[in-house]
Amino acid sequence: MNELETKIHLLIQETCQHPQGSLERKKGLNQIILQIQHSGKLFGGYYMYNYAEALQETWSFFCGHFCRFDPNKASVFTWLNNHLKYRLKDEWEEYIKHQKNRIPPIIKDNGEVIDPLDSLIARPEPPPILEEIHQWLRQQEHQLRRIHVRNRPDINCYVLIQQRLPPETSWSVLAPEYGVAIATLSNFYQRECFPRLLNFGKSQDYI
Amino acid sequence: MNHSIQNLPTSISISIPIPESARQIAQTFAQEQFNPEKARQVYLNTLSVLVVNTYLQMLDIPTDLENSHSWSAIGRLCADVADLAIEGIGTLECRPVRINANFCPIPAEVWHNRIGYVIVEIDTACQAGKILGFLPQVTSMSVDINQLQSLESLLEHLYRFRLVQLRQWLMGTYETRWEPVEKLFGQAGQTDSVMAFRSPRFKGVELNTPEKIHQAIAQLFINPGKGVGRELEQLKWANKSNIDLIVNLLQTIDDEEIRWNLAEILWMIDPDHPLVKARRILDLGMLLVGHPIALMVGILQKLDHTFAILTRLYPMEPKSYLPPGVKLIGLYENGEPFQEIQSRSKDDYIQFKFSAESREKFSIRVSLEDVMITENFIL
Repeated sequence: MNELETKIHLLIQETCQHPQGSLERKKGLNQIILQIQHSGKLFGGYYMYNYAEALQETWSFFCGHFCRFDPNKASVFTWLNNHLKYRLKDEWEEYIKHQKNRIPPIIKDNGEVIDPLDSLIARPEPPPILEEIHQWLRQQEHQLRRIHVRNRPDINCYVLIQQRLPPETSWSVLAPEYGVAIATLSNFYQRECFPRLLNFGKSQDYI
Repeated sequence: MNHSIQNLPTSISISIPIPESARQIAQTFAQEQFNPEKARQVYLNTLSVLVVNTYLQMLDIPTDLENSHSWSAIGRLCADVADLAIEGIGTLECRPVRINANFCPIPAEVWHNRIGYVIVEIDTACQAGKILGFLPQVTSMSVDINQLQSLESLLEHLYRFRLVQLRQWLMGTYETRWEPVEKLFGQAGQTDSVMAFRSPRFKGVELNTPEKIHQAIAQLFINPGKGVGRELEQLKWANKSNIDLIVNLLQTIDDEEIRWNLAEILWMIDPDHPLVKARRILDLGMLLVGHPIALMVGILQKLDHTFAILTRLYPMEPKSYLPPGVKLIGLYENGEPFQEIQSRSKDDYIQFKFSAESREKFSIRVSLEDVMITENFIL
């Protein structure tokens, strides 16, 4: 067993002595994950079918069971990699069985990595909730105008919500327009405007 | 004990795999938007929140995705939010960057109401998110990736913000730092413990025989005008053990003062009794200008199903007094004080009591000179 493995095994042993829920245990586990990841000894099958899924399940398993790890049976890397390989095999078998669950490829035929953001499609027109928000704003205009920044009735909930609805006016344009700091505007928005908007959403059953 | 931990190299980022299910959620949220730029923003925000959510779950830190603004359609549409609610702690903002970014933009609408900011690097194929580090506060349009603090300090930071779950005390579950009163002060009767020096006596009566305990209980009712004469009658003919008697009284009397006095007597004769065992003590150590002090919090369930709470400050050394000028302050959730008392010279403890309802949040602050320690609670 090499030095790194011994260190990680010792770290696991120490961490498990701290009670569940304690800060020390969380810090210990964080450190164990860091050390394992930075060792570069985890099986890397980045381009394999559903590797991310299998790897995440392996990490979840590890975090839930690391105190049952027995260094006398195998090194921590063998333990993790075995689990990961079984998960990858399961993923692949699932795929063969139900070909329709196919997940999008990660690389193009020419080997170039595909960025999902490049193929993201926005909806062509505003969603219906936006029109509902505008209606609500018109109905509540009187009340919303009465909630304003201290000594600045012109900076009120009504105008600020309107200006921040998409397509929104940026904070760095609004702040000099009102002659106040961005933080003054955004703090007021965060405290008084946004919660009212979210409450309206809740009342309309938009979660 | 942490010797070997310190000897390991300190690298700070942890990589979290992003499964297909997460990308599907991100895509659904992105497609609600009607501007391609905004759609990309929502996609990355969603992945970033899910990455941090997974990381915190791995470390057994409970989160509340459903109550995060990033999980509300209006929240996503009307603001650039990547927030994640953490149970009993607060809201963490999880800002995404792409690979090799040196700076991370932080929109002004998330400068407030956050307990911290975590920066997540989403790789090109959106297959993994690397948690680069964290900052406790941000009030600028962007942050320098090189200035981030480690994940270890994030965990410490979250720990400082967490709420003590008092409801769990009633069910017998406590965090380890909240210790049984006896453990810190020793068993009653031990001559060198702080408790020993004050516990055998209750309002001038020594509680060393059943008769004397009975007498102490009876004394609580010798107060005309309080309208509890009936209970006193009951006491006279009751041929019950003192413990049964107190339990019986605690279940029928709603006079706050008498209830606490009864609880105090029960603490001395049966500290583990289920009705009063929700009482723990926090050793504040030498944090207050070198004075060893402990904060005690006790809860009594009231007849109307709300809760009575007692907070008390003790000096830790036997036969000593609190340093004069220590303040014990109760704060509402918004930080406004609702009660404040200050020790005078030769106070062997100071305390106050109040009532709270289920799910209510409050804080208790102990301060001396310019040092203060605040503990946050939820019922």
